[in-house]
Amino acid sequence: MAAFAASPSDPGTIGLLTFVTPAWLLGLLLVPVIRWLHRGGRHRRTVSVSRLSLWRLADASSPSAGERRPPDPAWRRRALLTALLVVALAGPRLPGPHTDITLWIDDSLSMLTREEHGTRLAEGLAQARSSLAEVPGANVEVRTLGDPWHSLGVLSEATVATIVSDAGRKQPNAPPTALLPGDRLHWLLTDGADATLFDWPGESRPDRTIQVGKVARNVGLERLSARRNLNDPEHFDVLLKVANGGSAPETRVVVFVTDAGEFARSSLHLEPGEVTLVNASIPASARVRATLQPGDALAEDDEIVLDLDPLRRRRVATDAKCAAALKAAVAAHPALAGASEGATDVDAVLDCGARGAVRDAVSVRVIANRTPKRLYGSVQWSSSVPESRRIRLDPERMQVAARLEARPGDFVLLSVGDEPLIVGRAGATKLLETSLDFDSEDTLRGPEIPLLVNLIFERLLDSHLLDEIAITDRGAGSANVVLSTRAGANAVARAPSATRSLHDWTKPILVAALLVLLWELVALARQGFRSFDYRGADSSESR
Amino acid sequence: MATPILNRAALPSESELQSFARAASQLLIERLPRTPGARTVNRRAGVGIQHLDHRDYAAGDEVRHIDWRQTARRRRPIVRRFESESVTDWTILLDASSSMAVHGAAKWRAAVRLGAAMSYALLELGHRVGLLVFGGHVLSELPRGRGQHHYAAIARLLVDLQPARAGERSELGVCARHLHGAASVFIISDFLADDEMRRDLGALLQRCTTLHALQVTDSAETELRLTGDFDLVDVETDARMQTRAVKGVNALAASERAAMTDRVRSFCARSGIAFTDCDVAQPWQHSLLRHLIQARSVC
Repeated sequence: MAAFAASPSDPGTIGLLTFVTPAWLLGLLLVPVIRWLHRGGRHRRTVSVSRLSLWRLADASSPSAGERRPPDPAWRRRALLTALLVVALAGPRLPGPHTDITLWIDDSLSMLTREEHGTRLAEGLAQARSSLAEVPGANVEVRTLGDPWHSLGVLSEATVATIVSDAGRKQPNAPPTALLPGDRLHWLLTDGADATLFDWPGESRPDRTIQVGKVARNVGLERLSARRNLNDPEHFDVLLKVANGGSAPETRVVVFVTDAGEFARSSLHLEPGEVTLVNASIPASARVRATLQPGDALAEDDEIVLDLDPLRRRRVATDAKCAAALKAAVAAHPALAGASEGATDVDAVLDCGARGAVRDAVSVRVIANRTPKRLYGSVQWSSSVPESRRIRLDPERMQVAARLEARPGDFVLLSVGDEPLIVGRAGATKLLETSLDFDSEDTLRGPEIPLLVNLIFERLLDSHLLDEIAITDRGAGSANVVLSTRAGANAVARAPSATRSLHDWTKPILVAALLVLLWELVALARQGFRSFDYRGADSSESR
Repeated sequence: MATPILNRAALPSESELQSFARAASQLLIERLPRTPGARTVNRRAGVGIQHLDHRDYAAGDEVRHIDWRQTARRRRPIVRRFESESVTDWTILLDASSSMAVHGAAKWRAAVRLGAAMSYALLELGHRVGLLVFGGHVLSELPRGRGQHHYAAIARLLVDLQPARAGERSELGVCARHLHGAASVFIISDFLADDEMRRDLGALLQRCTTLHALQVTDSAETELRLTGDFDLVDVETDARMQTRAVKGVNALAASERAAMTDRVRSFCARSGIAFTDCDVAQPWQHSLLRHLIQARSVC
């Protein structure tokens, strides 16, 4: 049953009383029918007496023709039961003595736009406080649209500080259905820049919308992403998304700054609502920052910083005993960088037997302890390896230099027949062991070794080494600061709505109906007992 | 008659009957003043078998009554005279209408006890006792008889009887043509009829020597324990009446019942009928003895 706030023009509203399904009220027409069914007639209770003339003074029949016989008084009880059930089915709602209000706060980035007296968020919260003060007995609960499942409690100074500090960090969305109970009022504090925040589930709508914001000019940086340059692993390709979220044409200068200082600068002219992309190639760095000049009312989206650490090359300590093909594959990998055997600040270790057992580092161990031999059987990949990432291997050209045993807890990444070739060992430190003979001439002829090295290290480091992208995204439309058309229409339509909370009275009425039903059952039991006493006492007593 | 619901346990016990008979004998026999030790019955000549004395023969005397021994001794015709019988015939009329069966048939069970006790006491005194059970018509009849074996027959009949739950009216007048010869009549009924059976009592009074009326009443028949509106149904006539149980309705019915009793009592007093109102809650011995005491001043 959808609950809705009542106004005098709402259907199903009788004064202050509101019904969810008012059609059920037609059932009240049964009341006169019940009275008619209880009129005098043969269905009345009868009592046998020894002589009727003894009771002539208690004669209740009509002395004159045309007088209506009174109905059985039990009709009132049964009519009451019927009326209560009908009203309960209609879903009555009554305004409660306390008004429970959930204040939904749009904590998007645009709410940090500086207005005349502070940010939009601060101004809106001040407005909300004054509006809530006008509601007697208001019981307020604050939730943000960015984190709706987390209740912030009452609207206190600490709550306001929390909201302001966390604003713009999460993408806001419309409240979920489970948090929109019909017995509470739902107020929305927003600047209306994001129209999707008005798309509440079902028929739910904000009971009151507090809209703030007059500033209509802003250019913001919505997204900054980077990836390795395919030709030069020491350079990153940077892509910057700039949007004009205001209502006037704007001109800005974009400046890219790395740890080494300003690297690039670009001038832009943007029409209202226009979005443009800026490309740049920067040398490898720990981070890159893009800045718009000059700044505007929403300073938070005039700068964006991207951490490039995910794009750095992983250092792999390579064992000197490793096969040349294996070392060449590591060196050629764009995301891996070879390191000396004794280096300590490495991300992984390639152990071919010279280092001995390494327990404290993520390692790949190549085992060769017997004469290489050719494999027979079909290649089998672990189901955890997607089909698209599986490497086509020819068993005819592969040899193994050891025999691996898969122990409990291990997982087999690759096998030929029943012979495991690459096994992930269970343990606190990741360790992959392989028995492939990388010195085999047949193996050297094909392209499998670089692909196998990439696959092994991707599995070892839990990342896609060849197509990694670093990105900072504030979301599409994060630069918008003007009231959207749809949001404005919704706000206007709902603003005059009632400021009262409706309480569901179905359960209390059902309880009352149950009590009346018990009353009826007790009355019937007493009547039956007395009738039995009248009719059957003679036989029971004489026996 | 319907299926019997009574049994011998409903009748008074043998000891109760004997005790009552001894007490009642002083009230049922000759009421004329007498000296202590006198016989309780008149000794007069009449039709009988007990020899009384002799007298001279007179024309018309039975030749078979001539005492030839005394005739030879006195040399004139002498005839024997016999003691006339002093016992009388009693007929007990028992009401078995449907009104006696309501409210657990308490009135019927009281009437059975009263009838059985009265029969036993009369038979103990040598009277002949007959039994008529009536409703809308005579439902059962036991001719007059005497002796304990006759009480056994009366008891069997009473045990086998049960009033119909509905539809059996009270017509006391139907018993009139079943009363043969002069007899004393003892009526046990609730007298719930159109005119409290006063017209039938007057008719019976013309056909008997003495008439006793014992009215059996039950306070439960003037109590309604239901509330609200309902229909009252007369068990004898099936007539219906709408009633609303309000406060005081039971008191109205009780006063109406008292008025009916007063009317039949006044009629009996005027007509020389011994009348007693007997509530089922009272011991039957008390009711019967009270009636016999009152009857000594009426009949």
